[in-house]
Amino acid sequence: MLSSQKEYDVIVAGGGISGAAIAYGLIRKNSSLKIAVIDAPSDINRASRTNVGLVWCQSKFLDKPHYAKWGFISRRLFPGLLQELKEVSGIGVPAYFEGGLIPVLSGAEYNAKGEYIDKLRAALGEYRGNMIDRAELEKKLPKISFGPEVCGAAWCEEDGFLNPLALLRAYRKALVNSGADFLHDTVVYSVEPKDNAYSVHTQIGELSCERLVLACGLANKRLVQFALNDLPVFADKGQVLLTERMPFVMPVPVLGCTQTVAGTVIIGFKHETRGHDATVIPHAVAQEGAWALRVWPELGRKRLLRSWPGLRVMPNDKVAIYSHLPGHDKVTLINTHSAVTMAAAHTELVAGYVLGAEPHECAKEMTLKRFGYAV
Amino acid sequence: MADNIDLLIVGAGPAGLGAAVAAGSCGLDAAVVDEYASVGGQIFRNIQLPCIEKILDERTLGIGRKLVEDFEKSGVKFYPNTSVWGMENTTVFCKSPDEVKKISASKIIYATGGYERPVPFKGWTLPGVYTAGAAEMLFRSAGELPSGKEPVVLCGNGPLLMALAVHLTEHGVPIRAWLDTGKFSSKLFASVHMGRVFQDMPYFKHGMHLALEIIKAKVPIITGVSAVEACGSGFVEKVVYTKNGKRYELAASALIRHEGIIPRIQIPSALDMKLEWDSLQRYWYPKTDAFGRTSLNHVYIAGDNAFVHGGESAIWKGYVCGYAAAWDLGVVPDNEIKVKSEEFYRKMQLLCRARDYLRYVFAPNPQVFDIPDDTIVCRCECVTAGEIRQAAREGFTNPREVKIATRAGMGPCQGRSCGTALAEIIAQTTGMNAEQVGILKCRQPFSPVTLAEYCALHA
Amino acid sequence: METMVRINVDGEDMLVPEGISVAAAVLGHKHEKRVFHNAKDGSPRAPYCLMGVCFECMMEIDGTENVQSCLVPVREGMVVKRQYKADKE
Repeated sequence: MLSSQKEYDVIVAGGGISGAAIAYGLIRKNSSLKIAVIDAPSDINRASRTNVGLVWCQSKFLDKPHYAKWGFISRRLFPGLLQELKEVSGIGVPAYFEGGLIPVLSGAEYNAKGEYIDKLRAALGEYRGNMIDRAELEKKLPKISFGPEVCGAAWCEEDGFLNPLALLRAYRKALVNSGADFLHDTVVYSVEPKDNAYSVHTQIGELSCERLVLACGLANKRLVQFALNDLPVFADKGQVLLTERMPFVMPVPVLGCTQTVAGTVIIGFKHETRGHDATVIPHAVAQEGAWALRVWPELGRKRLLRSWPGLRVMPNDKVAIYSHLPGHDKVTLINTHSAVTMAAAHTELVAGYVLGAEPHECAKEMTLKRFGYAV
Repeated sequence: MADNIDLLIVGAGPAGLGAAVAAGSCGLDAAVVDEYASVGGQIFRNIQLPCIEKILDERTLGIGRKLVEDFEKSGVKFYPNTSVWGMENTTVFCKSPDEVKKISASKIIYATGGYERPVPFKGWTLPGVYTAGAAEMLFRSAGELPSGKEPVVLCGNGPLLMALAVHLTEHGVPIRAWLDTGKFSSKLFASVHMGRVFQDMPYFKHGMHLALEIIKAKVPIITGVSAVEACGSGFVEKVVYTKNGKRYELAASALIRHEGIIPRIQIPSALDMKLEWDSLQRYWYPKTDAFGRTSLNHVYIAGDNAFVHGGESAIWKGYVCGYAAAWDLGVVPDNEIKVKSEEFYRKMQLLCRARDYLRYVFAPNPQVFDIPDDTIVCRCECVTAGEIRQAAREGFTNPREVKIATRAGMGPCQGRSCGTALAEIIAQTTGMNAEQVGILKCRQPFSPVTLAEYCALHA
Repeated sequence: METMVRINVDGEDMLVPEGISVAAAVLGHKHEKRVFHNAKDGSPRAPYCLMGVCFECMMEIDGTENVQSCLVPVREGMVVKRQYKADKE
C-alpha cells in the first residue's frame, strides 16, 4: 500500500461550486465525517469560474415541472444558506434577491412569453411573476434608459443574482473551517472500486474512501468509466463579454446583459455545441452584443475589458443528474448546468442522498434511471 | 484595403521599423500599425520633433532618424493611432479614433517592445510617483515634471535611471537622493561577464559618460535600501525608506521608480504562445528561434518583446525577423536571403551578447517584492498584497485563481501592472518559485474597445 | 522651429508643442498633478507610465470619457477635461 494513502468517509471529486456545495452539505449534516474535496488545477476547464452568477428560476422547464420546482425550492433556501456561510466562513457573498427580468423587443415576443408563463403557472400551481409593460419595467430599473424597441419584460420576483466567485470562496473556506481537507491543484486520474471502498488515484497518490461523489463537471465522463461508459452529458459552450465598471444601476438583473455587484456588465447567453473547443469566437458573441445594444444602448459607449468562454455541463435532457451509479450505491454523480441556482438545494437537500437516504421528492426523477440505467 | 496582405507588423518601434524596412526591401505587401500617432516606439519617441535634440545624444538621434527615414522610403504602409485588440487565425482586429478594422495577413510580427517592470510599494498609486520612462517622456515632450524644479527622489535599479538622472540634472531638477534597490552580490557576480560589454564600445562609452555626469552632479547614492514608501496627502510630499534597520525620511515632490524592463507578453499570453522564464531577470518571454518565429506558425516576435536587449539590438532583430517572414512566404530565394540578412544577423548577435552583461548587472533584487500587506498591488481594483496572500493561503495558488478570488488583474490594464508582483507574492506565500506559479494571462480584447465598436466589426 | 497647437484643458486654453501626447501636455506643461479618480476607491491618480500600460491617465477628450490620454496626440482645438474633482477626496 502506498504510504500516501489516506482514508476518508467521503471524497468529493470536483471543487467547483457543485462539489463544494455538496461537500459542505455533508459536513453540516455530520461534522464527524472525514471529508476530502479534490479540485483540479486551473488550466482545466472550470465552469464555476466563468459563471455570471444568476439565481434564475423563471420562464423555463414547462415540460419538466419537477425540475422547474426544484429551482424555486433552491432559491428559497438561499438567504438562510448565505447567512450560515457568512458565519462559518467569515465571507459575505454579495447577493440580490429582488427578482429578475427578461426584456422583450416585440409584441409577438411579449405575447409568446406571456403564454408560456401562464402555462408554467398552471403546471406549477404557483408562480410569482408575470409579463410587465415598458412603463413598469422602467419603474423597476429607473436608472437604465432602455432602447426604443424594448416593449416590456418577463418578470419573476423570485430570481436574483450573487457573486459566484465569492460563493465558491465562501464554500471553500467554510469547508476548511469545518474540518474538511480541500486538496487544490490536484488532478484525479481515475477511480477504482476496491474491497467495499473506492480508490481514487490522484496526482498526490492514492486516496481511499467509503463513499464517493463525482462532481467534476465534464470530467465526470472520464471518471465514471469504472461503472458506466457513456454518461449522457455534453459540453454546452457559452461566451461572454465584460464591460468596464459603471455606477450600479441594476439591483434587478436583466438576463443577457447583467450588471455584476462590482459594476461591470456581463453580456452573452449563447449556447453552442462545439465539443470541448473553448476559444472565444468574436463574431458569435458579437451577435449577443448587438442584442444588448438594442436593450440598453448606453452600453455601446462602454469599453469591453475582456471576453471569456465557458463550457456548461449539460445533461442530454437538460435536467440535472443526481444519481448513484449502476451497481455502486455509494457513489453519487452530480451533473448540472445550474450550479449557482441549485447550490442551496445541493447543500441542504442532496447531501442526505449521498449518505444513503432516499432522494428528495423533486429529485426522484433526476437519477440516471431516466436514461435507462439500473440504479 | 486588400483582402489579405503578406505581413502585418504590430508596433512601429525599432524592431517594427527594422522588420518593415527588411520586408519592404523584399517586395512584400506589408503594413505597420502603432497605437501612437508617429513611428519610433518608446526609445525613438518624438524623434522627429525639434525638442528632442536637447534630450537625445547625437548617436541615438542619428540611428533613430536614419531608421525612420529608411522606413519612410520602404513603401510599407503605416497606420497611426491604431491599436490591436484582437486576433483570430490570420485576422487582426484594430481600432483607431475613426474606425475599427480587420486586417488579414499571411504573417504577423508582434514588435510591441518591453515596459518597465511594475514593482508595487506603499504609496505607489499616489500622484507624483512615476516610472523612469514617464519622467523621460515628459522631457521628450518639451515639458517637465508637474512639480517643476522641486527636488525628486530616484529609486530602483537599471540603466534607464542613469540616463534619467542626467536629464533631470540638465533640466535643473535637484535629485535629493538615488535609492539603490539592486543586489550588490549580483553586481559582483556580473563582473565575470563584463568583458562582453566591450563588444559594444559605443554603448559602453555612453554608459561611462552617463556615470561621469552623475558623479559630477554629486547625486547622493544610497545603497542597500528597502521598504520604500511614498507619502503625502493627494500627492507625493516625502519618501521614506529603510537602511540597516533604520527608517529615514526625505522631503520630495516626486518619486521616480525603475526596476528594469520586461517584455510585453500580454498578447503572446492571450494567444497561448509558448513562453519561457528567465530566472535571472525574473520575467517570462515568448519562446522564439533566432529569427523570431514563435510556437504559432504564422506569428513572429521581434525586439524587446521577445527578450530585452535594448533598442539598438531591436532594430537588427527586426531586420532579421522581416527577412525571415519574406523567406517563409517563399518570396525570396534561400541564397539571396542569406546575403541580405547576414550583416544584420551578425550585428544582432554581437549586440545581444554585449547587452547580456546588463542582464546580470541589473538583475532585479527579489527582495523588492517583499511587499507589505497593506500595500495596493492591483492599481485598477485596489487589491492589497495582504488580500493576495490570504487567497494564496486558502489554496488559490495560481494567478488566475487569485484573480478570481481577489479581483486583482480584473481591471482595464488586465494585470499589466500587477501580474508580475502577483506571481511573486504567490510564490513567496506558497513556497513555490515564480516559474511554477506561472503568469496571469491576458484575454481579448487586448486593449479596451467599446461594445459598439466590437459589434460593428463582427456584425 | 517648434510648431505649437492650441488645446483647452479644463476650460483653459494653452499652447503646447505639436506631436506630444495629451497626458504629457496636462502633466508636463499645465503641471496638473492629478487627472483621474480610481473607479473602485475614488483615490486620486495621475499618469504613471506614459506608455499605454497603466490606465492611470484616463481623461475626457473631445467628449469621450476614459481615454488613455498618453496614447493620444494633441490636436488644434482639442477639448480636454480631467476626470478629477478636488472635492471628491
